[in-house]
Amino acid sequence: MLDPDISAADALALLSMPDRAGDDRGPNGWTRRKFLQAVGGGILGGAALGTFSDQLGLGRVGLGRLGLDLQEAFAAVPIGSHDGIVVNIVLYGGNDGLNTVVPYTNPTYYAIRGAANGNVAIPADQVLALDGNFGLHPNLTYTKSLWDAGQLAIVHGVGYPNPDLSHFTSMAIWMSGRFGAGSGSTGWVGRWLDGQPAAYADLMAATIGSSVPLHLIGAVRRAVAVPEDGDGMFGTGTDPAEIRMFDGLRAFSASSAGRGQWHDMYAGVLKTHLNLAKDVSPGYSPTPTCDDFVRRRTVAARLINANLGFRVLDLGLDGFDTHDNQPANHPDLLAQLDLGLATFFSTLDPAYYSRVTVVTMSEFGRTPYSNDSAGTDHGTANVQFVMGPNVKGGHYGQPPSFANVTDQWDRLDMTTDFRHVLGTLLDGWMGGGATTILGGQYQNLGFFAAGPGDPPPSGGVPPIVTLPSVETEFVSMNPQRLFDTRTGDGGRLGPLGAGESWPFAIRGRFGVPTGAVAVALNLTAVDASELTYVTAWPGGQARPFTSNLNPVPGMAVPNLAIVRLGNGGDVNLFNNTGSVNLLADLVGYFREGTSFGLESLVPARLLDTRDGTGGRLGAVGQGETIDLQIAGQGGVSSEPQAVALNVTVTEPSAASFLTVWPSGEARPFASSVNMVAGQTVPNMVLARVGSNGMISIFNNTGETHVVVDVLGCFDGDANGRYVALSPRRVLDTREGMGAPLAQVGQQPLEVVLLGKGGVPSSGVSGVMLNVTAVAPTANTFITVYPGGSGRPMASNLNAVAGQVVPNMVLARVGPEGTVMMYNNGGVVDLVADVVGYFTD
Amino acid sequence: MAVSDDDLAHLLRRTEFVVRPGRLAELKSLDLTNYAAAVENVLNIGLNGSPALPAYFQSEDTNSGWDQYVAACSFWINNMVAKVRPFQEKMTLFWHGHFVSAWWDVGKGYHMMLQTQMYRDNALGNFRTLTQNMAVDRAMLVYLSNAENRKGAPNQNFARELMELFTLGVGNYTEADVEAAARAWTGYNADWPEYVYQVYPNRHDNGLKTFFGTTQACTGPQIIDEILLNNPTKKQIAARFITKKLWEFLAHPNPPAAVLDAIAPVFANDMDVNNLARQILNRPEFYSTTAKQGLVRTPIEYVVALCYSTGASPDQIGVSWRAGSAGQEMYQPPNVSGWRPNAYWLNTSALAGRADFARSMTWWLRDTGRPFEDGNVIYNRTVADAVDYVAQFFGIYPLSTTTRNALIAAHQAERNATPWKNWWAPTNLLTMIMLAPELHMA
Repeated sequence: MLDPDISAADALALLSMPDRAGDDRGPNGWTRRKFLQAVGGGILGGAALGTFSDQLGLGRVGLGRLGLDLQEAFAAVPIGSHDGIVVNIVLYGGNDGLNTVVPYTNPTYYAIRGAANGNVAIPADQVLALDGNFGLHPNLTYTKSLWDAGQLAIVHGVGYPNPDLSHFTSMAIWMSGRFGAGSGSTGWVGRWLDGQPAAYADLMAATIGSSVPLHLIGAVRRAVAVPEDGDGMFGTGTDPAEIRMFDGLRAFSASSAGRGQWHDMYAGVLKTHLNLAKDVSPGYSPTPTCDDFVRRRTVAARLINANLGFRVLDLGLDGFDTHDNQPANHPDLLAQLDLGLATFFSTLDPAYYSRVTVVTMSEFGRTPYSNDSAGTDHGTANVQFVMGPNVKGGHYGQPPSFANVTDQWDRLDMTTDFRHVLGTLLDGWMGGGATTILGGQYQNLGFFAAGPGDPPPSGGVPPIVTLPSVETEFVSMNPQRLFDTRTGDGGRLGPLGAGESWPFAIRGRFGVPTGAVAVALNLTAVDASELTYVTAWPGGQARPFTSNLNPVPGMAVPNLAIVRLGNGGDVNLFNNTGSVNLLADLVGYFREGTSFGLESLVPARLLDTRDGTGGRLGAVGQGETIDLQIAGQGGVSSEPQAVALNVTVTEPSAASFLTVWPSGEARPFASSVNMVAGQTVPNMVLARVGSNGMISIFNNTGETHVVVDVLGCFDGDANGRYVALSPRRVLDTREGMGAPLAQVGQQPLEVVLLGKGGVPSSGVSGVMLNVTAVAPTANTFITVYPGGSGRPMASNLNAVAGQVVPNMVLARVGPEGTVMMYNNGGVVDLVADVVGYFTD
Repeated sequence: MAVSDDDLAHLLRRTEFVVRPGRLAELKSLDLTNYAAAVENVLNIGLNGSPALPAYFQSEDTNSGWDQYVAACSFWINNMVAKVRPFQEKMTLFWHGHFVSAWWDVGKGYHMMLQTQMYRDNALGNFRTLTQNMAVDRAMLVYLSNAENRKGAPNQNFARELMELFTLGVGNYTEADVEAAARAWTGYNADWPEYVYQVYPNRHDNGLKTFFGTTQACTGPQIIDEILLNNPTKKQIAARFITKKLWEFLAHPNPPAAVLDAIAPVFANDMDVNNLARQILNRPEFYSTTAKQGLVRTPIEYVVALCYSTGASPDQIGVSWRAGSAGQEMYQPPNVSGWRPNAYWLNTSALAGRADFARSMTWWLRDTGRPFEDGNVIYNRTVADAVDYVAQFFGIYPLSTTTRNALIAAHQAERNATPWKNWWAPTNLLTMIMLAPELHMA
């Protein structure tokens, strides 16, 4: 659990808050409706209500100042269009700024902590270079993208005069925002809260965790503590008996019990919790399934989105006191910080982008020299990050020099007083009051490009959002048509032109629930005017350089696309050149959950009508339906929920389509594979299996041979959870990416998939790839199978000489994290885009 | 001045976690012209015997460290509930929160058990001895990094906390003293994987160190002697530091200066903790209203009270994994400065953690038929009597008027809403009483 460490004597005395007699300072009716009722009644006259000082003399003699049950009068106030929100991240323990923002071209840095001295320096070739002087730690990839977008301000050399090396005193100083006599008793956010209107000050700041740190404690007010895990949070029950109990518990604070301040405070906080529970419970739904810090970041973003009025959200990441073995500990912490930032910005509703700034703080930096336990000791000056769309990115403050660092106990001299950072935040983002709150003048460091709610600066773009990894389960649906640009179904009539992007909203429609993370679509391109490619990717993201379809004039090209949904629940479609019509059938979605997973299999052939494999010899005729046994075949379990198949049509006699659906149910109007005469077309199909363990396959026109290979099965006993990613290219033999620069002959190509394109380097059972065979010199097929296995009799892709053919492939990885790609004839270029992976 | 029942109950609650009727009766039978006899009775921890640490905790459970942690939580709470003189366990808790190490940081649970057992065995012993033992304890050597502190590149972690948090407090030493102490403690190491304490002469910096203005070739243990024995000024500061801390642990924050002035110099002479506790518990200020109303029950103490009243074992309400959400994970103080009193525990999410304990205990009570199997036991009483009956089961007497009125009103509302005898009315009454403020005050 997170805990702020502030044992300076004053801070300690302060946490006791001896003059707090209960919860009368706090609002009780949190809903906007109650607030508006009270306002409408003309009751709230001004700031004279509910301040603590009123109660000192009166004691707790009951409710009803102004003849009103004050407990019901107050409420949170929604965030105004120009109200700035600060998300404060405390890095507890003292973050090593020198390894966070690395002076990678400064030889002194390597002299004092390189190989000869504890070897804690970050190698120059690993940093994410910002410029010729500094680079970020390699684990700060999202932070780097903020820098690239101009949304990261790095303040250098931040500290305070006469630095104290004790955690508690130094943290107390940072949290207090002042130092000197009497400073340790309140914090800068607390004093800011003290100056906010009484009516709603108590719901303006929250810490996510179970104790309230000093910076959020004011003389009269303080932030609430919101748990990081709201699962079944006490107070959210809706049963009438529970509600009666909650009302009874609230009544413990109906009047002072006469048993002392702590008794009354307990009763008051209990009531506050009950009231708070209802309003913050949306922040916990659905339950974030991730590490503590990332979970806190998710909750923070959701609390902002819920528009309850929080203006300051505080959370912490512990463990930075790296006295020992820093190289084993510090990188993981920075990775958590980075993932937390990415998660936060991707969870945050875009409506708040221009009103949110994220700040880091830490009680001190660390010694420039390492201490030969391969760690560092308490230091002084440190870097601080200020991040957000309205931040003016860049370096601020003078980086401290190593000139006075000659032995291992020398520390850096500060160059920027931390109060300037706080002052710039208070006046530039939080509505002012810096001079009063900080007890002195400060200098505006100028790291805001615009005020809260003002449009981000020209050229500034919303943060590049990388969507967080979420483990999901697949819910297959009967295929349904989403859109068809030939007919105008779905809202768009007319082909996509050259370079044109089209967003299509999916979440919350067509039976796709609001909790859906990704969708499986069967996308088909028809009527291409020239060879082109089509890309599908999450809405709200920059278009990746990947492709899902390679339409060719005169052919219908289908492909299964598994696309992560953007923040807004939409996907984007893009066409590169010429014009092309698109149609899409929805076959399922992925939602957060763990009740069933995927077992990816070594591909196994279940059906081949050319040779009778699977019990059918002979092409499937016009209007004919055949049933195929799936359960128990090829490694599939006896009661699969759904299966991932590769379905290939070959030697079709006419333009036609196949439909695949669960046997025993009515055939849906949707196509799983499209073909024209003579075309061999593969497509991945995610199909639910009928209760009889079979699927049905229907051919519309003419006759065609059908081949079915099974790649994976979804059921309750399998462990593989799907994590949908933004598409990223990981293999392109035309460019030497992921493989040698050379076309692939009959020698199988081994491709490393782990640790590429967003796929983690361990814990992965299978990878979902869009594989494209580019212009083989002979008619051929491609088989993808796990590295270290024998090549199975199955195929993932079929291509005619000169064709460009894509297909979605579910690739089970071998023990070394690789897959083999086998090309049957001639030579071919291979391209692969990762769209997601399955855990193991 | 005769000692009142209220004074005795307060003494028992603060030293033995709860007021056991048998203990109260025993104290009442003593000479009550002053506190001395009652205090001696409480201090007599020798009656607990000195059982060894159970074998299961003397080595690592390589099959499941988590099971060992769960057992460790139950072990300690059971001690607090069942020992003949639980004050020993209260003092163990004090030392654990003062000379802090943490289970998951140290990484070997059984080292933590050895450490807390050492605190248990020295609970009311000599503070100098205890500090010396603590410094070379395997868990502490790892937790504060002295395991690796060696000549040439000293690690300051232990040296700093020794003075800042363990003996003197901020402002009573200089950075130079920290550097000197770190050098003095070089070579007192422990190596992976078992971290057995060993002195390595070749890793020890034999040079002269200037500590508190005196220059000599100090060893690590000599540093502690300098602080607690030889340096007259520092010794007094240390004595006051510990006196204040123990007073705040037992009585209330911010002791009156007069109390510290009276007690600390006596403690400085011999650093005998038994005598320190005796002095504290005999002070009239310990029995003041400020003291009686001065402390919130910590989550662990709350769990002890629940387990004592109900007979439930700690594992049955999931202490090992619930205590953290109430703010106090067992054997895992959040950082080297330990836990804080009062307002530290009273925030919304920590209270939700306590509510989870209460709810879990409610289900267990209903399942096991305590304190009543049949709801009629409640319904056959008047509303007010039912409230008092359950409150007494949890040892709360008397309830404050505010709490009692709230409980009566709520229970009455429940009976009104469902005139037929339903299951919820008695059940919710149990939960409400377990969340009554009275049960959360120390």
